[in-house]
Amino acid sequence: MDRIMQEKVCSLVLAKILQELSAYYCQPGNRVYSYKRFYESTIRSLFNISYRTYMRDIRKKLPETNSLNLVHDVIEQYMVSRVFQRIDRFHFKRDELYVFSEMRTNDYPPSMWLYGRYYGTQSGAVVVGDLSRADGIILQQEGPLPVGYVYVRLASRQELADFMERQRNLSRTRVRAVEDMVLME
Amino acid sequence: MTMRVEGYDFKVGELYLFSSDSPECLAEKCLWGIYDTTERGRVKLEVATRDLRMFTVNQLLDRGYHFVRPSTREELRDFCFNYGFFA
Repeated sequence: MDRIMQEKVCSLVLAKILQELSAYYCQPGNRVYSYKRFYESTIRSLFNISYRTYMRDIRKKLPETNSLNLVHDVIEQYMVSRVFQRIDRFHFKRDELYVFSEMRTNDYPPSMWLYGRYYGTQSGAVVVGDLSRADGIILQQEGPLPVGYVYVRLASRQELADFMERQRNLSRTRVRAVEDMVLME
Repeated sequence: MTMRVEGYDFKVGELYLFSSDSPECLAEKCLWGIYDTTERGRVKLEVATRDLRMFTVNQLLDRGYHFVRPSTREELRDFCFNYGFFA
């Protein structure tokens, strides 16, 4: 799911929440005692998730207030987190860019994710190229995925664009270094 | 979505596909380029390629290119990785 699609889904969920809140307020004498109750019924029905999953991944992060910005962030995080899959059940495509994580949920900060191109699998280990952190620091050109990174998802278009931007910056740095060497000679 | 190059709202650093004659902008017949700036009404591409093998830098877009569209995710991926390899 790309960023635009995510945003559309978030907007739909928020619109539905607003609609239900408005309908409830229209009834004379009705007051909202718990906003979380409203969020729960809407989110669970729209995403078709179990009560257990809802309690574990969403409920504790939802605000008790009617701050829809916060609700938006929680939904967005949930959508990102649930597309991570276990590496051993994942079908990779060679040369595609993937995001690797040690945990499935988004409680794990994105700054700890790793970005890398899938090269193949050797003796059960996933071999990746251009492995880098979210801040652009390249960890290795080619090699096995670090131990512990057992969840994976396809990088979004924006993440690809950011990855390319880092490559461009690297390329510029290389060109500058060569120019400096020529000048020194 | 394909648009005319003239007046197009380009985003710096974004990859676009340009075509001289085809509004469809078929990838295999297009010039691929990362938008840098517009100089005296002409689009300047930071990096450009036709075949994803030979890349040129700081190329002014030929006036013959009339159509443009943003790249898809797959096109961006192919450009990104081929540029990383062959540049």
